[in-house]
Amino acid sequence: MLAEPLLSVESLSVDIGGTPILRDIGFVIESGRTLGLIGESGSGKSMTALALMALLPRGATRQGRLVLDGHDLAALDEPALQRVRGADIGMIFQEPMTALNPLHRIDDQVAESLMLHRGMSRAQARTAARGALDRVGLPGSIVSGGRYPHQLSGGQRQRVVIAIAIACSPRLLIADEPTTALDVTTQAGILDLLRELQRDEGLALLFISHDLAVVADMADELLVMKEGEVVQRGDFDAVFGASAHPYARRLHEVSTRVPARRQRRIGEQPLLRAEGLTCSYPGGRRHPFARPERLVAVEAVSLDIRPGESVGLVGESGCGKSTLTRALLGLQPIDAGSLYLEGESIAAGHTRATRRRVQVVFQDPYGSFDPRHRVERLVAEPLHLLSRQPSRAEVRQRVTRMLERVGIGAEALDRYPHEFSGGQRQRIAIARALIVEPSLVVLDEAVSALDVSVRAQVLELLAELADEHRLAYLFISHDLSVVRRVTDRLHVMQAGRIVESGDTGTVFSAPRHPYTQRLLAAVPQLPALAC
Amino acid sequence: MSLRSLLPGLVLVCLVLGAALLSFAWTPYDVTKLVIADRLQTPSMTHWLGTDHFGRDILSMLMVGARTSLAVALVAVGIGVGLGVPLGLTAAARHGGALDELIMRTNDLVFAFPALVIAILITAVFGPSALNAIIAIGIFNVPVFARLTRGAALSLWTREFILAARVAGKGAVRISLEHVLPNLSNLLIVQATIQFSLGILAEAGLSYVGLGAQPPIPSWGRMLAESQTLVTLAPHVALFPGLAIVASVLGLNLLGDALRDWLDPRLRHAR
Repeated sequence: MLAEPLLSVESLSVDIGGTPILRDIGFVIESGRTLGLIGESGSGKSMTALALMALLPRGATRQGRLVLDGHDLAALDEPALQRVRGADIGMIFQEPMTALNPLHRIDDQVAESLMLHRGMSRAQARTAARGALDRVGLPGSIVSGGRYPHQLSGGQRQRVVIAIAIACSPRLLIADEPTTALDVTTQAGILDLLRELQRDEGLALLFISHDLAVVADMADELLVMKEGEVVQRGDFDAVFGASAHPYARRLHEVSTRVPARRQRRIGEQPLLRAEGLTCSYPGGRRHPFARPERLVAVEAVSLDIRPGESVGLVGESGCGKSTLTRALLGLQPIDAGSLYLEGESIAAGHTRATRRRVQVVFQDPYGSFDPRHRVERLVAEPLHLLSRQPSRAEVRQRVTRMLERVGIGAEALDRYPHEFSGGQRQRIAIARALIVEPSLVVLDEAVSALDVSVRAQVLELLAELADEHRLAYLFISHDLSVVRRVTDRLHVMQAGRIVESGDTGTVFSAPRHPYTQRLLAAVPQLPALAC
Repeated sequence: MSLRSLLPGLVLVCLVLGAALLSFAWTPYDVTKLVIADRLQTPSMTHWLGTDHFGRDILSMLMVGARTSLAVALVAVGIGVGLGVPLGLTAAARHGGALDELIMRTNDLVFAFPALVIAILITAVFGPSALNAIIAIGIFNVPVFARLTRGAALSLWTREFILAARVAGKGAVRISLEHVLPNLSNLLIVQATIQFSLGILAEAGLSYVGLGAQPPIPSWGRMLAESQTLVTLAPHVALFPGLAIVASVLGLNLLGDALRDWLDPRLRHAR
């Protein structure tokens, strides 16, 4: 153990416009060690990282001692800080799509910090950048440095971001939710890379995430944050063990909770049946007068969903999940195959009556509401599918009842969607889906954007509603741990085809297809509690 | 959001609008009456803004000219919005279809002609008048609004709240009217104020070359044109119509910006 920690933070506090954001944060990181920072949105995780880099938003004031390798960061002025950022501290951001400049070649983006901090010429910096890209698993034989960000996949882009962060061999690397936007197998690759870099270069790593399983996997020591304060610290067992802070225990508990379903009345006749479903998009043309080529997104997919059943659909981005969902919802033309709802063919499109039976909840609780409409109008939107149009008073009554059922008070009726939190918006989205009493609800990544405790509450609500209304769910997600907890049967999709189907338990315990095996192996496991 | 941010634009626009409305009832002097003896007077108590080379009162001419400018610009923007927005919405709703192609290629065709050449063509065929100026300016507003509407509507059509509305069983027309159009309104308002001020400039330009409102109807553009040779002799004759154009264009742009913020519920509550 080293005598002097690389970074030590003492009583760090941050105010924005007089409102305390961080209170009395203190921690140390030693070289070659990983400190995991966990907590829910708004707990101050990212703000802590920004405070270390002195990149706080305008109007924020910082107090406390920040010592990096014997130098007091708090005493440095902006030019000195600019020499520290990038050179001594590297940072990896959550969203690889926006962290890179789309107009610059990737090797130039890596070379930029080398030219800034090492005073290299462009040619030297490009050579060094090549080395950094090799280091993160993007050798020139696979990805030439002259490429642009849009030509790379999400995982490759995140590797470029890491290459930028490590180009100047920093001693501290801050990774703020580095894998949250990535698929599970891509995530495993990035986590391996970070571990390897840390081992070889002796980096200190500050790893920020809301995903307990990922942090438990990566970190030597954990820091649990809540409302701008550190509520618990120590290794995994200490943080979540018997003497744990109630908040830490609750986080662990909600991350693994299985929503209770009282009675299961799964019907025999399929509610929705798809046979050999194929969908395609027009692609590029060979020459201006050629017919556009078709890109097949969903190929010969067959599945059925029985009344009251919860069926999972998993796969990585680009596997055709979204296209299949749209086809089932009647938003996407079907090229071939048949689609039946309660025995009635809907391959050619939904009628008003069939559309009522299938509703949807989307992933993005921000994007799925028209920002200009009030909640009453938003929730009431599907009501026009009813054969008899209800009166205004009746609409208001139904919307109020539905909102109350999902745990939103009647005072919400006249408010706009932006006035609600992510979890509340998702409840409103569920109310909108259920107001026409459908028999099947498609949950398209419906809980992916939510914090663990909010996610657990929403899953609980969905389970209750399923019991009450005998709802069937098609649960689409890339988060396998959630799918495992809430579905009865599972379909695994790869490159437009369903490669494995079966009971969720069976698929998870004995996966047959190599792709499923790879997918499951990549899922980080959350250790069970010691007590 | 307070009314304060609306104020500067509102004051300028009301000033111009008020002058135009007042001119229907009363002007200091008759703008058709030439009093050669009083020509090129500097501003004084009898003629607040002076007189031109025919001895006409400049303030009276500006008031009546505001009428022409506002009317031409308003109707021209009306034509642009009235035809362009529905065309753009239709093209977006039928994205990739034959109708989309037809609308957008026709747009490109109209865009390809210089506005002034078309204006000259129209006046050559139908004779110069304020009405023909309106039609010429209006036609060129249509593709501006159609293209803007289509572009913005296309990005809205991929949003999840539009998908949600489609799952709720709404058709393209209802979605366009209920979801797409309201979310375009801030964009359209800003563009409309820009086109409105461009319309005022275009009317001034057409009148300047003699293709707009015909004498004796006063017009800001023609006042500028006529004062051109007198600038060194009597600068105020050119200065006041110039200021009138600047004030109305500036006022409209300020008002447009403030209105856009005020119409957006997210920005309204954020203030």
